[in-house]
Amino acid sequence: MAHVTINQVIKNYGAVRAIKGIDVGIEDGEFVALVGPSGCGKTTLLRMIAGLEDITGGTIEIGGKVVNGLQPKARDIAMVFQNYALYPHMKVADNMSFSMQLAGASKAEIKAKVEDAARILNLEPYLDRYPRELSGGQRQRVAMGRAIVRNPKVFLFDEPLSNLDAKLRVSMRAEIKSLHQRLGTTAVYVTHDQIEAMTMADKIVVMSAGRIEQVGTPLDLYDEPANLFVAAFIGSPSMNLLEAQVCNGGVRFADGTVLALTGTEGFETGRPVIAGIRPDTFELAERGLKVEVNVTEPTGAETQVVGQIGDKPVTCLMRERISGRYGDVLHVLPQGAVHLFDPETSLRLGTARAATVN
Amino acid sequence: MTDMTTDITAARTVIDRGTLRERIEEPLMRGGQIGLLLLLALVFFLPVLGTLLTAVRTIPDITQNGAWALPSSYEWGNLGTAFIEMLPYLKASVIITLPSVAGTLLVSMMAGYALSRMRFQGRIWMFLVIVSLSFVPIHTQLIPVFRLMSDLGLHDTFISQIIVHIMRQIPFAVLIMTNFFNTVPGELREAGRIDGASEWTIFRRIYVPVARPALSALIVLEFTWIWNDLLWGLVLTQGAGKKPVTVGILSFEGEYEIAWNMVASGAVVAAIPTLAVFLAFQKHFIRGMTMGSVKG
Repeated sequence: MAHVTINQVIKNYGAVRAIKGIDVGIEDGEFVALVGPSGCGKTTLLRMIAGLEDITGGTIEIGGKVVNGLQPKARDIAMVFQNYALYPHMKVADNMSFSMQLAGASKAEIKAKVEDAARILNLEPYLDRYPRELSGGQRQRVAMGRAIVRNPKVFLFDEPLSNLDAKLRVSMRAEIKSLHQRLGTTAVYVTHDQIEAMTMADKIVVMSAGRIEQVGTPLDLYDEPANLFVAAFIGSPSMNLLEAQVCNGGVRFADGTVLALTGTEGFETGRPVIAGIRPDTFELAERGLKVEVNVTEPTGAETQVVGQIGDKPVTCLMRERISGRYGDVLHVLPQGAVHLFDPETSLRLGTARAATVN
Repeated sequence: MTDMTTDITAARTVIDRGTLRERIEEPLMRGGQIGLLLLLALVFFLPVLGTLLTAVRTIPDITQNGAWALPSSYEWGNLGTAFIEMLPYLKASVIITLPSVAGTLLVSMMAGYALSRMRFQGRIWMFLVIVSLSFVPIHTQLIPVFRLMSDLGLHDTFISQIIVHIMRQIPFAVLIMTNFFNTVPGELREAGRIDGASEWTIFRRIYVPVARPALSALIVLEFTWIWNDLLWGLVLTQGAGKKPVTVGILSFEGEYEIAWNMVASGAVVAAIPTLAVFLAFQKHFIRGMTMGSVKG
């Protein structure tokens, strides 16, 4: 159990700077998710914490100790890989106890620890099997068991659920989260799936192109995204980002439609902004924005309406059962935050709300 | 109306010709393919059959009835006699082949692991150079190696043959092991590092066991090639003591005549160990094919 501090870490691959100076503080016992699109550097950062990649610049501390030069085994960490990386010629029990065997632990100790971990993960009936005789979810649990047995200071997860089917992913998510709450060990979890990050993490680090875009709790990121990237990345379906200009009492879209808002008073008229509206904030309204429907996607609990406001694509998530077809028209208003961003800097300007229409 | 009926009959004729062609052409093609394969099998098997038959004939039988006649009498004793006479050569072959195979495997496994999993300068060049050594024709090596062994004082020894065999098999074996280790996911090594294993432990306890199918295939191939080698056995030895079994068969050739039935018996006796090795190892490299350590 330890806190992890990442100080101005830089990673170069030859002439390419993959990680451009990152600072992250992870508290003892926290579950931190590193999220971002492919190639953003999250896995590289995780591997640098593990010791599988060299650190070009900056320092990484685990439990207050700088680990830059230390081998993985000296860092007291355990890692769960995306493709499990189980030893195929060893039984499950041997897979889980390999690290203890190498450390020279007694047979009794090994047996006790392995059975302990197996009980937590419901692996007791499989201890004598080989990895090839297990399903994907079982193999992933063995990989976690192998990590638990090491009793490390930090757990490192490298997209562990990416290779599982959708339903299994959902149930394993809950399992991992409850495991973390039970064990209380610091965990760093890399994923490209923002839903995984939102549901499991205490704190999320959103990364893109080797830099940090924003750090915060899941709801912080959801309610107050710091820039356009985070706004579009967090939340499913993605936030609608509509170009507009500030006008008196609201914003005006390119086709002339005006959305009355409170909170735009501080901005000069005519200033270009990007209005970010989450699909689920739209509600049907008699006099609202006109949406031309392209398709409706009913999921049972909600209906996703994909359409256009003017010539801009828009997605609305409505609670009602809407059976619209191509060409139908809906009127909607956002009942919730309308996030305003600066088109040039991508930074957040502020939050506005739809003015009540009389 | 007439147009319609001619259309219909035309259509019917087209369909008929189609099935007729299918009915004759397809079986003919299949028959032809099977016939060709049987012919090929026969071509490959006939020499073996000929050897087996010749082994149990008598010399007068061979001289009178020619090479391909069926045995007039079956002399099974020939095989026994051949075995006893070739015993010293069989022993020599074992002393030469087993260390050669073991040495080749040891070197190629370690080289394969290093070339596949470890990152160092010149890795790719080294791999290319090692593999390209196999392109050197054996004929160009015979005299220089003979002279080298003589200069080293190793003429007519077992060790010289062992060294040469290992040297000649390394390119192929390293190629096989490197390519095999390339298919084993690198995460296994990383998981091993995190578990606290040193490089040698990772190699010995993780990658070597995982390599069992490739190792089994290599054992069979290397054993066969080294056991069946004739050239080096001839070139590097002088007296009868260090000659392998392949050269031993030649001892049945006298100055004026060749005892073909004994030569054939010798060949049969010499072939049995390679057959045994193949049968012993084939189930290993088939069983090893199902691996479930990683996804897919």
